[in-house]
Amino acid sequence: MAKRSSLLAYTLSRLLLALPMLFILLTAVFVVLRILPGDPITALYGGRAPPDVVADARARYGLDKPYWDQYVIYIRQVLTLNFGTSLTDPYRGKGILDTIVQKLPGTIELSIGAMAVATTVGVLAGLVGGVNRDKPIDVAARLYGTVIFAIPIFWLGLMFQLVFGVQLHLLPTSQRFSLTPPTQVTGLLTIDSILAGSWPNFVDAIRHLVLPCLTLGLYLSGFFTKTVRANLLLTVESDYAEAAKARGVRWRSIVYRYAFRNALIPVITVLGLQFAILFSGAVITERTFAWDGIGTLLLNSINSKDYPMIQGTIVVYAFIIILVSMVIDIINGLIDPRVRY
Amino acid sequence: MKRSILIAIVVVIVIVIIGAAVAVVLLTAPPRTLKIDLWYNSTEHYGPTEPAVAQVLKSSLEATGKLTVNLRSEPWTTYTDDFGNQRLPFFLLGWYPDYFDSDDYVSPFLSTSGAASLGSGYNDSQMNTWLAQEAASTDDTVRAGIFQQIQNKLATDVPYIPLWQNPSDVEYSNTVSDVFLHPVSVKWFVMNKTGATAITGGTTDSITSMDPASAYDYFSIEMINQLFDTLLVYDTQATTLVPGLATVVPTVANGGISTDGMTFTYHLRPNVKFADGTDFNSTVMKWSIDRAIKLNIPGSAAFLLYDVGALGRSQANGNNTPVGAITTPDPATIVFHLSRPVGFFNGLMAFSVSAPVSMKAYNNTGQQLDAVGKVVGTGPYNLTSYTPSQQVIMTANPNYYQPGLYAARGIPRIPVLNQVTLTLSYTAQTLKQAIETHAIDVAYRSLLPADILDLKNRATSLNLKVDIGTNPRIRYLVFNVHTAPFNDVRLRQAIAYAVDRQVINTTVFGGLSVPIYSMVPAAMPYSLPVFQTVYGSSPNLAQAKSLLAQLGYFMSLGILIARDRE
Repeated sequence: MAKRSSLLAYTLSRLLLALPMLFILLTAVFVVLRILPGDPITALYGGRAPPDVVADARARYGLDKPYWDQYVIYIRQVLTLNFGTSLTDPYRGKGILDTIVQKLPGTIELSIGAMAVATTVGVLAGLVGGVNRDKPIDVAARLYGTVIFAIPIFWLGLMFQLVFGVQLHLLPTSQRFSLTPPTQVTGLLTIDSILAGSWPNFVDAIRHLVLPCLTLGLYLSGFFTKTVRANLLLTVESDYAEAAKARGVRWRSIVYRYAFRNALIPVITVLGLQFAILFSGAVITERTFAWDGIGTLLLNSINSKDYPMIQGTIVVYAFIIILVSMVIDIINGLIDPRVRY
Repeated sequence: MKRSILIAIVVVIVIVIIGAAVAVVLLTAPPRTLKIDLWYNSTEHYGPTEPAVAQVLKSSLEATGKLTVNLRSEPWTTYTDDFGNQRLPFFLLGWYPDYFDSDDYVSPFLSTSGAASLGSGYNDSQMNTWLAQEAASTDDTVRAGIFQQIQNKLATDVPYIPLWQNPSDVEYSNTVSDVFLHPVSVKWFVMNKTGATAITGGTTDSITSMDPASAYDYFSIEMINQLFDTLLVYDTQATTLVPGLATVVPTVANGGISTDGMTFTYHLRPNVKFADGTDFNSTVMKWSIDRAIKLNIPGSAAFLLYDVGALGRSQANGNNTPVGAITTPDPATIVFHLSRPVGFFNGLMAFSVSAPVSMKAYNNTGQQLDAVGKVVGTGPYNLTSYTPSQQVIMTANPNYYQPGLYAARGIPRIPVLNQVTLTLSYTAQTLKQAIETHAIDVAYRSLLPADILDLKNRATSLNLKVDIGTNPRIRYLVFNVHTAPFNDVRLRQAIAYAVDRQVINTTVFGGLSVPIYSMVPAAMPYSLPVFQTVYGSSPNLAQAKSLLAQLGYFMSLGILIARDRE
């Protein structure tokens, strides 16, 4: 009972702290975008239209107003969850939030898949390494952890495309889908295919997911490998493991039933930290695989200086990262009795 | 002893004085070359080849031995802001025409207002007079004569140096036929595939809007050209206009254009229906043109109608065209009364912004959604599925009004295939992979030059056809004629002598680009290779050097070094 109410207080305080954080971020993004040189409307016409046409377009978007007025309008828009409309091609005239909502499932699908790959491969490699400490297989696992983390994502992606797409013709190398997309319900093509009851659609969605998820997942797995291995070594050498050993519990049982489980607790904390890296990695992965997600959206908007779209995307990014790290904190508290709020 | 010390001191002093004098002379000597900045866009607005082009230009200018070129680059948003505000003195730019008339290759560059928007600041009253004359005339002989004068003056004044046209290319499976690389619009509705009723295509482009009042980027216009029709349309292969929704192409001879070039009359085809079953007539046509002008959606091509096309936009008339500018004497006739002669008005009536939309499905208060059932035109195809940035599917319009439109061209019935499925937003690399693995039947826009060549070389073994044509987009250098040192015409001429178009073509584009010697490309009427005539087709370094020597910058103490921003 006491724990639950303190958890509630903790969650509330985290949420309240998140608000000024978001506000500072919003202001920083607004200021940085205005300080940087360049203009989305002149770029839109590229010198093709007469000056009065350009001026008229700028006025319609309120870009002729003083910065202070633009800032007030912007904050008011964010508070009402209306981020305005996009200024530049290819989203010109479309609602910011609508566009983000439309792109988000792509990134979510990619992130979940990549996280699945990262935890599976990372935990397995860390476990194998930790159990066989200093044997060749441990050295191999450690080497893997370091090398995979140092490889640039786009290079790894290009290699996968070359091998599995161009040479072996096994998997598609780009996009989220080749067939006619199923009726949009969640936007997650795998789920929507199941809902539509279409097996070929589901297979198509999975086939497209394989290479991008492997690329991003393997990249992230290096960190998991190292964390799991280090924690496993700590726990196997801990007093309770020694005690169990002294009581004649089998070594295999000590490792898998006690040490390994405890070694996973810090992994969950790492999972939270990895989310920010996952999102930045997703931007590059999306670019490499022509993946239609908010990473691609953010890159395009930065290129065209689409103020409202950049602002909206960053707010959504920040919101998700704050939310995920909070959820991870809470899960941590639930599974680890030592954690107190 | 003392004497020798004295001599030694004197010698040292003399050496120091001589040394100091030499140092002063060396340090204050005039620069041996003129330092200039050449700007290019760094965010691939013109593709990934831009830095290589800049590098080639730098080498060919530095081959004169009298110029040092400093390459500078900016992202597109900053670039347009800077050149539009006259802050770039010497830079690379490109132009894709809005309408297929030679006027669109001269007026935007050489008229005072156009030159200000495009960052050259060129301003010449004689030129403005000629431009007004050629734009007003529909007489070929008269126009040819004026265009000759315009291009000659362009080569003398050199506010721009025309360089090259990019290749345009399409790659398709051996089983596909009737793919025509048309400069305005590739017509998916004439393509055929052996033993199939559907075809799949892929592009790196995406669609901004399928509303004619909003679209102003290549692939959006491409979509509108399949789903909608215009009064006039282009031939399958040439840039000749043929009747679309109109029964004839207006000319002065057939009375469709008034002798003063200010009134254009179009007779409309009867019994044309929109995809939603509503009738097409002159009222709908007028309403559609007014709608585009009234909405004047930022980033749209509406200004081509009310500004370039001289139809006007009247605040008093609810931001529509002014009262009387468009009249509809009967349901089958529409008359445009322009505020000044516009010889190329027919070209504007073939542009996507002029496509009529259903009055039932559209309103004139806002942009139309890009959704099935909302995109309602009279074109050969109907929109049947659209997932933004991913896929678009078009299916044959069963009520298409003019299946025999291209019968004379050997295509008895359009649309030829029942369905076209296009995958959008490929990257150049993944588009190449998709066509190479036959995941799609047709790849259209845009592959990298090296990949085009690679596919061309392996076409037979890959069971592909690779067609290479010329892109209507011209690429050129711009001088801001008011910024030192480029305000001296001799420097601009020297650079015109020094540029090496052939090296750009061979080293950057693998021989696929087309060098150009006028802003009016060779395929357009009245084009004259004036830069070839005046400056030659290969670099003339002797002439360039002699002009640069005349400039006299080199004797000053480096004061007249070009500055990038003032």
